[in-house]
Amino acid sequence: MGNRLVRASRSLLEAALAVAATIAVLAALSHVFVPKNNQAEFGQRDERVYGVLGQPEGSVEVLFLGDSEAYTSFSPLQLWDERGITSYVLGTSGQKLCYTRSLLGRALERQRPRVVVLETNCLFRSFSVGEALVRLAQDALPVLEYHDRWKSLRPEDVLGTVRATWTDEARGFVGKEGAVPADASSHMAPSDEVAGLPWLSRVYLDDIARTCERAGARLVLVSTPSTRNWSTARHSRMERVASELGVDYVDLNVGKDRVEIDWSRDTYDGGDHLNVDGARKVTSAVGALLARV
Amino acid sequence: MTSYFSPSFLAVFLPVAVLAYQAVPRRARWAVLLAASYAFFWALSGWLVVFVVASTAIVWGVGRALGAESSRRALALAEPGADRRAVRQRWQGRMRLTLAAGVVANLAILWALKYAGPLASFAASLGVSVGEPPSVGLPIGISFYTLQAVSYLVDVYRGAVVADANPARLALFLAFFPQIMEGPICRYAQTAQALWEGSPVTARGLFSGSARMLWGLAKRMVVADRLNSFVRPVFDDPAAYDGCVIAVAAVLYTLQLYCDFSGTMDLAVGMGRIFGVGLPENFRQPFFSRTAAEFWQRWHVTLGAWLKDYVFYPVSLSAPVRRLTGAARRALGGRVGPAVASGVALLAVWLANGLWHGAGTQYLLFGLYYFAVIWLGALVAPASEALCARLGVSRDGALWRGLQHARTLVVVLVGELIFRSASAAQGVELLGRAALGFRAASLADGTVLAVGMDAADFAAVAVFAALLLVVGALRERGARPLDAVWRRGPVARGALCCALLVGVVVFGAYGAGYVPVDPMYASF
Repeated sequence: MGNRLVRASRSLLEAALAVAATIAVLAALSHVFVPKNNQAEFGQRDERVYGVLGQPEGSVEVLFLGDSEAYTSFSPLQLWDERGITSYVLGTSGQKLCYTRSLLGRALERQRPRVVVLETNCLFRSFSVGEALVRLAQDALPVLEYHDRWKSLRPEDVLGTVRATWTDEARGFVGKEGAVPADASSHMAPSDEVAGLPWLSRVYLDDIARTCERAGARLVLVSTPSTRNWSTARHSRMERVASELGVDYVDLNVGKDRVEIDWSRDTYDGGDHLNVDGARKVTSAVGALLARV
Repeated sequence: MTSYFSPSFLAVFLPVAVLAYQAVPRRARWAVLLAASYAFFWALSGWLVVFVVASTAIVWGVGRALGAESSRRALALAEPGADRRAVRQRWQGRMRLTLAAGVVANLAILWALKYAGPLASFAASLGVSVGEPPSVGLPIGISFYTLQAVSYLVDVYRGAVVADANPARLALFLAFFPQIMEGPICRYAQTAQALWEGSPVTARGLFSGSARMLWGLAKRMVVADRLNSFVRPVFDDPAAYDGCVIAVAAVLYTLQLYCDFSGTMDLAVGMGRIFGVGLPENFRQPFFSRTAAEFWQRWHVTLGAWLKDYVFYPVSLSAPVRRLTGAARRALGGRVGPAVASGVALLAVWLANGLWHGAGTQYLLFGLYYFAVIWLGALVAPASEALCARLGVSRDGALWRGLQHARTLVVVLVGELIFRSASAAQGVELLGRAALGFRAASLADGTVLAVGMDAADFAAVAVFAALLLVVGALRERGARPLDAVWRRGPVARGALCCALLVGVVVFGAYGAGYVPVDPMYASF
């Protein structure tokens, strides 16, 4: 019995040491593989949002989080022009909340925003435990995300330090030109339905709320106008969630905060996203809200 | 969780299953494995788990009935003065009916779920309306566990195994999660008892299993998933590419399929080792084969063995074929005659092989192609040997062996080109274009590099393929690399696992820029 215990302990120790050595090697490789500057030519993914790292430390007052609804609706340059508020949009296409949380963490390393605006469409996008685990692992060991850079490594990748000297001129906003009218006849029609929220989204939303609280930032949930993505059922869900979290919720589709969107002119893809005209209206409305908080 | 390669499977499901297995008393470990197996099945196929439960219930019931009939036959035979021949005939007839009921029930489920839809579509394309069968989806691994179910019933009928009274043991044999997706196709005598015994997880099993899994991950993620970037666009739109690109795609697809399937088998065998269960090997260095027949003794070994035991032998030993063999022997001689007659059983085997993969005409052509190659090979073998002897050519010489390897490789590449095609007609067309439209200049003018893989990708594949070749050559000589590393001690063991994992992380084709690929044989 004693011998078996000793053998088992030794085996466990061997396995633990092998795992630790592997993690140490991957951590060392992460230093080599991580892009040495926050630009695509250095291998940086999602260059536009990582441009926030190139902003002067502590200079961003408002962070916008979310998916394409966020980066087509909120214009930081207009916000600065109209309200004198500095902001940055961390939106990417089809963003899942585990990535939203990751980007928020990266931005908070250098910024102390007073408000974090989370566009709510991405909350309803499902993702798996596996995807969440992969994101966590990629944040801890960037070689997992940037492993394919073995094809383009340069000597400075081995010894160089990580810098962020670039930022996006539009601060993460992507203005879309053109107009494709939307059928808004049934948009936000009355309904008793309450949309379901993926359980993992709720876990991550709670974590985002706690992170904002720790960082001294006020979390505001905002639903931007979209006939394709937003509905009364989702509105009802978000009202409940915001109430449970004790955070502000602003729905620009309906009610007192509704923005007058001309669905024949203000969307570039039939109601899915806003064009620059729609974004101008939304940014003005959000600017007024931000001025109050 | 979608497969063994999902992060949630590797990082959560499997470790939890192993820890739970080891934590519970030995007598309860089968329950952990069964629960994990059904949970895995549920995660991949949802409510379709009812089909594996139904198959298990059928197999258990029919197995018990066969066992009971066998016992009653033994009692009848033991009665004083019994007409043994009459008793045997009577009970054989009954047992055959029982066996047929079980086999037909299982094959009917497979037919309804896998073949009815495609055949209805095929009939509709010919203008024959047979109605649209309800589409409920395909339970994961149905082609694999159905063959295991049939083999169990036939083995009980033959008296090779005793009918299992324990439905849980049978359920675990059919649904054991490391093998449910792509096999290997196990026999009841090989794994059922080992699964039930609940052997403890040992340091050696953990190392050997983990290293084998990492090797499989490397095959799959470094080679197979990378090659998908080239193979998929070419076969999705072959009209856009010239004969040279199609020929290269055939070569790369063959390597992709090997690395994908054998890599998944490495994971299955590795997981089996962790749980103390020796799953049968499905690959034995197939590209070292000298003939097509030998290739199929080394590639998807358990399917070949299943077809040999449950199709080839029954057909060969059936009365009509035995009469045909006798007639052929008298007419054509003792060597050529049986070879000619064996064509009947061989045709049955290769039709079954082709159609087991699916109802598409390309699979039918694939089966007929190998039937023709192997059967003609057997027919001309005596003449070939005589010719070599007359010309003084040594059949064991390096030149002859090299020619045989090259010929077999070409045969395999042609087979895989047909196999990967969307239909038999497209297979023939692509074959013609690869052979007649081959333009060597495409290899040098950048055409090949413009398809989906850059030079670095080709280099990564070439290096790993060379490594596969070296490991294969070592294994051909009887070496057991993992045993050798185990004996070298903990540093060597840790270093091997670390190197494999780091290699997979750095050189794996995953993440941004790569399309996730489902294990290829999981869809068969």
